[in-house]
Amino acid sequence: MITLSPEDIQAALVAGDDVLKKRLAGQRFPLVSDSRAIFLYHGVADAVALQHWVYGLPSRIDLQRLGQTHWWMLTLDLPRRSRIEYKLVVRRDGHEHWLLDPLNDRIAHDPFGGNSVVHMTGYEEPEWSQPQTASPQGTFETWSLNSRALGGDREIRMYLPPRYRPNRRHRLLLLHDGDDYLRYSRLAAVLDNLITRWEVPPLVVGLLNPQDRLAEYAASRAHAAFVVEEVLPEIEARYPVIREASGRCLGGASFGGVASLATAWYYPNTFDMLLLQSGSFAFTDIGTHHRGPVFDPVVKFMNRFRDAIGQPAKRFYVSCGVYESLIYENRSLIPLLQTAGFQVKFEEARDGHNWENWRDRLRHALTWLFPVPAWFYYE
Amino acid sequence: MPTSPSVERHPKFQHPLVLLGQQRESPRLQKCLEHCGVTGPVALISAGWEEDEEDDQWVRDAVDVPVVNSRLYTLADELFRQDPEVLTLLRERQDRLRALREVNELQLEHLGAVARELWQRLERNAAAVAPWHQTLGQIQDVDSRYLKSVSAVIKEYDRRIAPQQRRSVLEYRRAVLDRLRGCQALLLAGGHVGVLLNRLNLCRLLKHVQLPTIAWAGGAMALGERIYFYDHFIPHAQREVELSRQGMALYRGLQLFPRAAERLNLEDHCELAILAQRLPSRCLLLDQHSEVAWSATGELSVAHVRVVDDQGEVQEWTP
Repeated sequence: MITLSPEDIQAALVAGDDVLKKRLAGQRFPLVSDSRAIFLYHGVADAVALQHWVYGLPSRIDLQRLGQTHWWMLTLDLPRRSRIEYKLVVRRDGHEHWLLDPLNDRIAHDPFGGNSVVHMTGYEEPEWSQPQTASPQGTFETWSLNSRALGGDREIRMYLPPRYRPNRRHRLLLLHDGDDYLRYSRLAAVLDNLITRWEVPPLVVGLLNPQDRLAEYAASRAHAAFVVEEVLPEIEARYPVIREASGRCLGGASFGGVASLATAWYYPNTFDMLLLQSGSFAFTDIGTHHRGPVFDPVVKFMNRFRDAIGQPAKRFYVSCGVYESLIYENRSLIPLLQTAGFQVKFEEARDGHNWENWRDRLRHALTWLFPVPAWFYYE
Repeated sequence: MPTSPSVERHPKFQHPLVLLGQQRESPRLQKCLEHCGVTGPVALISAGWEEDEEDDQWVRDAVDVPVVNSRLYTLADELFRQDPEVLTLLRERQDRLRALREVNELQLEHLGAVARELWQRLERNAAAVAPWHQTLGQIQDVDSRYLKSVSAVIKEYDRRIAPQQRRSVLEYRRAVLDRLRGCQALLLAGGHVGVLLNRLNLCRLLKHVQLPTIAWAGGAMALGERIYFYDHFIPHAQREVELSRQGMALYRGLQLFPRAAERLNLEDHCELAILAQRLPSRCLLLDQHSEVAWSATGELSVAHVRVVDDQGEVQEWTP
């Protein structure tokens, strides 16, 4: 809880740098109170700005220098329960440096490095995403597959859950960008915890990783063939999974969401369940799109899909951050799926296009897609 | 509304019967065994924990007598390997039951929604009272019909499996009974209540082995007349408490809700009132220290047990 206002900070600074430092000691940064966040930077600079990824706000907002000191400050109104990732952009001698906030030890990692994070009042990192060393843990196996569809060898990593039993028929979850889910969304801890609590059944999870992500995941037929004609039969030969659509879920985030939807659309009745997080579901009603050439095949696919929705799956979990530009495309997907008669769960979060947003939705996603075994267990 | 059903142990079961809440964190099994006068080996049925049934060290640590695990689940797995037709038939039965359940869920969802709407109006609109009772009556009808349909499917597959004439099943029963020879009491653990019931029924264990019995959590549920599943807090779980099937009926007039404080929203009087008025038995909330016990002579004693009344209020229960 904040104990200092911008006025307090200014007043302390008038009394001297040391006084301010004393007032700030022990505080968590940025200073957060209800729906206000105060960002502070201390250092020599010509200008300092907040770079964030909240769609709807100017992507860069300047911090104001406090008098002639080396302190810089920005007060920003942000809705309660928001989770915002950002960096500080420090300009000095004509050079620009993107920094993690030196005062903030809360960092979210992603394939591009990491960002500082602010948790607004009401946001809490889910306890079920924390690794529990005392709880049973799943195990991993990795094998490779020579893909005719994509050309060359592909590594597939498998998560085998606590309570994995060779003589049982397990449900299968295939996830795009699987290693990123492990690294940045704590997928293993999430699965271990939810499975140990019987909130989801002991899933076997196949983790797919691309080599040329933007090509393979942009509604590529070759990728779909790889998943359905090559990976799936190999998993079914190696592991005791339910060999029918009712036991299978395909999922991913961002372009991984597109890859999931497209694969399921090209191969109807293969997956009964789809997990689509912040899918890059760009489309046009008329004219051209403005998202750049990597989206050309996505828009082409989405326009075809929206025109003839087919039978990609029966049960959809769709989520998106309200601070993503993709929120509009994702929202507009929902009535389409509902009108087609599918079971749909759609959830929005005050978050952006990032792995921790996707992590935070996993409990609701997995318990929706794989109905609850805890219902039957009474310890 | 049957508000005061008679509470009794099954007249043919003339041994001490103890029903407890969850035990793993702070077990009181030894004390119960002493009350029952048990000083020798006891049989543990933990088939509800499926492949983990023999993960029973905590039970062994909690009692001062030898524990023999019945291996009811593991031995059934061996039976299925020897006679895959039994497993095929049981899976087919499961599919039939799932289809019934899906439709039942739909009916309950709609009737439950109506009941909740009416509950909101009860205080300010006297005209809502009769429809409220009528709706609860309809839910009870749905429950009764559902139970009949489920029982019919189970009976049909009993006929098809013909356990009495099937060598593999008879061998399974013999193998389990051999293990339990000389045991002085049964301990019945929780876990997956459906799996536990399936194995108990396949083995006919309680028909062949009648001993002082101490059951906790899901194990205690399995010994009742009806099995209801519930959890107000799992995301996306269905809202309606779900009637599953008939239990072993070792006791009557009680419906047990283990881990009540964790699994039921005890602040929600509407949900609890629906529960109390829908179910034909008293709704008892079991927590860690709860105990419902019948002595060898049939005297009932209870400790730390709460009951849900027709208004959805929770009170201490004194029978």
